[in-house]
Amino acid sequence: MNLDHDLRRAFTRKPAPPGLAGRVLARLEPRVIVPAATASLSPSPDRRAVRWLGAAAAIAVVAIGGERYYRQQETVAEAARVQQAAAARVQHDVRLALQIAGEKLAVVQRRLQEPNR
Amino acid sequence: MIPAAQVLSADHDDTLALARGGDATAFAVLVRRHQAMFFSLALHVLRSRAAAEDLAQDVFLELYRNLWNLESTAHLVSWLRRVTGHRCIDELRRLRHRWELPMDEVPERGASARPRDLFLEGRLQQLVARLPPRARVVMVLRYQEELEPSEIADALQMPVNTVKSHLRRSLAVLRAGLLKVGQP
Repeated sequence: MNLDHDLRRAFTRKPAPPGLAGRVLARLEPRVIVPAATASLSPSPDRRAVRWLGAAAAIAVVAIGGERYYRQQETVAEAARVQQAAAARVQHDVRLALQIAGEKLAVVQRRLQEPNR
Repeated sequence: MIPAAQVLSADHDDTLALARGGDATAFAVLVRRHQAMFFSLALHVLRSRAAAEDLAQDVFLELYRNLWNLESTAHLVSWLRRVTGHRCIDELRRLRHRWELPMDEVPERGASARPRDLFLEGRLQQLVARLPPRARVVMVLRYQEELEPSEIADALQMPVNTVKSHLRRSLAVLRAGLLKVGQP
């Protein structure tokens, strides 16, 4: 008796049952594995929905961001207008003050130049 | 001239690359190419065609999830051996030695000129089925796949000396078991 030889015979490789590969493929998720030729041409409905959702989200972000940016710009412009108006008012007040002071000085000068009075 | 084995290996690596790219047909080719080896390994260890098919299917599904990680056909075969071996051991432990299931008769690969002793072969399979899970997987890898102890050690991630020790002890158990049958 040759035990090694008998063991090799007892443990010869058995063929796999027919259709094993097919059953393995059937258990793979359809989204996970698709024939390479069609993979890039026809995205699955799920993938399409994800793309639409992504596009909608991007549009919403752009719209909200744009609106906020516009409002911020308006606030900045309003602040600049208010600042400009305040500056103009100050300038006007200073000019008026100088004018009053100048007139007062002119009156004083005139009185000083009238010695005979 | 390019050796045939090298051409074959390059072709197999191409199939692996296609499967990694998501080609279902290439993955099916990979499964068909390796299914006999790993179904048979599970069948010899578990002694149940249904359990062996379930295990083989699970292993190939896991293979699909790990394809990106495998660089060559040699790497793939080594990965399949390791995962199948470990899963067989886990399944045996889970089943708690439900190993006395009868094996279905299926046509075997290859034929030999020497007349077959089906009784002896059946007895050897029964004796191997009584070995502990790790020793059983070691024996099937050794005699079904004719792997060297170093290759078995690599597949099961255990020291070579442990593999040799399993083989030595298992053969002693088989010899003793066969002698018992021979006695009146």
